[in-house]
Amino acid sequence: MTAPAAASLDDIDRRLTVAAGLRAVVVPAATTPVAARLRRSHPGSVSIAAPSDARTLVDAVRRARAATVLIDGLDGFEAGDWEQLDKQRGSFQRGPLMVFILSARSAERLARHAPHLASLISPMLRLVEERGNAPLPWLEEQVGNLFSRFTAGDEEAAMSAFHASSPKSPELLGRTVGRLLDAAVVLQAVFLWGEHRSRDAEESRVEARLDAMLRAGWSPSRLWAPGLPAVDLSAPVGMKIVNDGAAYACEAAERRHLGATRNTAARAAVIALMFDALATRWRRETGGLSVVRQRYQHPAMGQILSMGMEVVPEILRRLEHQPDHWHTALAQLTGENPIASGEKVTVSQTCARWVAWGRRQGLVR
Amino acid sequence: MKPEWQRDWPNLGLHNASFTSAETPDYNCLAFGAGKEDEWWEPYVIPPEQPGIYWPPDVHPDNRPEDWAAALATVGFVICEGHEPEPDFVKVAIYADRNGEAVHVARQLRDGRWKSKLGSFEDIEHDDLRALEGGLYGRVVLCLRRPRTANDP
Repeated sequence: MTAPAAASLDDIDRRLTVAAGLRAVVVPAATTPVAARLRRSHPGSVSIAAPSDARTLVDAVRRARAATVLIDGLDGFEAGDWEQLDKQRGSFQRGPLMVFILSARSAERLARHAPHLASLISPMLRLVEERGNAPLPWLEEQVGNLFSRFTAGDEEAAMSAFHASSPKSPELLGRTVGRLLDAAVVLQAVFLWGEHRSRDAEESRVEARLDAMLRAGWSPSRLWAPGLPAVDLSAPVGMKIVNDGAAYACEAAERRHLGATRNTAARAAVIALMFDALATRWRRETGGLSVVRQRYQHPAMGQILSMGMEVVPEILRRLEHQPDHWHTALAQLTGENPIASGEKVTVSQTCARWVAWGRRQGLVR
Repeated sequence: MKPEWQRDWPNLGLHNASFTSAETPDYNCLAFGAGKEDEWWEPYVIPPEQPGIYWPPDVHPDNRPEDWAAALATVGFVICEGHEPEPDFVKVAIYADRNGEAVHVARQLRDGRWKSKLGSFEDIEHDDLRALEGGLYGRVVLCLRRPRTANDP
């Protein structure tokens, strides 16, 4: 289902007048006044209001002989009714224009329990006129849930919950990102917003606010990017993301990480900072040990290994100026081994071989 | 020495120790005790073989103090009583942690002081064995000696 696009009532009138097929208007408050308004502006339309159940609605739709059919008052429909409508979705594709006028709650149920029918409605129109500042309870609840998960250190669950949310509206995205920015939880806001393109003025405001915050710089004390283990820092690190013409640049810890998008630049910086924090901790807390096998049992090494191939360039970069027992990690991450079996080399020489291998692979300069 | 070392070696400081090398991962305390500075001695079971890591053939590959003592025996050390200096012998001391695992070896100098390689960090000279006792290295559990040669420091 395409996410609701925001519009005013006049705008909806105009769009429906020129439209044919199946449409839906999501209304923030009562649906009846909107249905009445649309009936007035569409002479000859038929209105089906508050049908008692799915069968009644389908029968009424089949009987309707009009260019425009307006359906509202579906708040009483339970999951089973929507599922029934989903099975009989063909009934709704008959007239030249069929409009569902839905509350936010009904829209959510449509998306959840009648996904095939919902997919035929494209795009849904979200009525922003008359809403004022009144919060939408279901939306506020979802924003609150996502925000709580992001700030409780459960970022992956928050991302999963967002992607599983229904309807996954830009409004949910924008409000959650706005709330994260309010709390200076910036990295999480960056990766949640992702490559989203603003579609209305409200989203453009969120985008502009995010962009301004990134350009001004911020200092996270927790690093996270999707699919990577979060790392809490002992001291905040300064970060900044600027658009460098064709590319984005994320500046952090005296390094500049370039990316085709804001996300890729931020992710590269996060990986570098994460690795630096974990490797420093690993060396500080295990460097005095004389048994490498024990060193590898440290949780920081487990986190480094869980970062996968993306962390390999960072390991190689560190090896250039601080040789250490990284052979096992590199062999595990890459599946390679630059040392022949039985070859007698020191650990420093092994490190140099890895760096040379990395250069050949284009992983380090 | 280094502020971050306080947790691992609380008795160690500039008043009783000094650095004598740069950091290197090429050898560890056990290899250093055996007189090797191009091998990292660590018990492993073949496979997997690790480049730069060595364990004497036919020595049980484990980290009990007696395993480390057996590794040192391959270069002439035998178990002895006490760590007091004896002019005709080089002594090494094996430290074990609270689990009884061998974790460190220190080698005695001609003047009775000691020299240690700290994991992947530097070599240091320290006045006594107590300087390295504590949370990470535990305490000395075994001493060994071999005849001193003219080249031994």
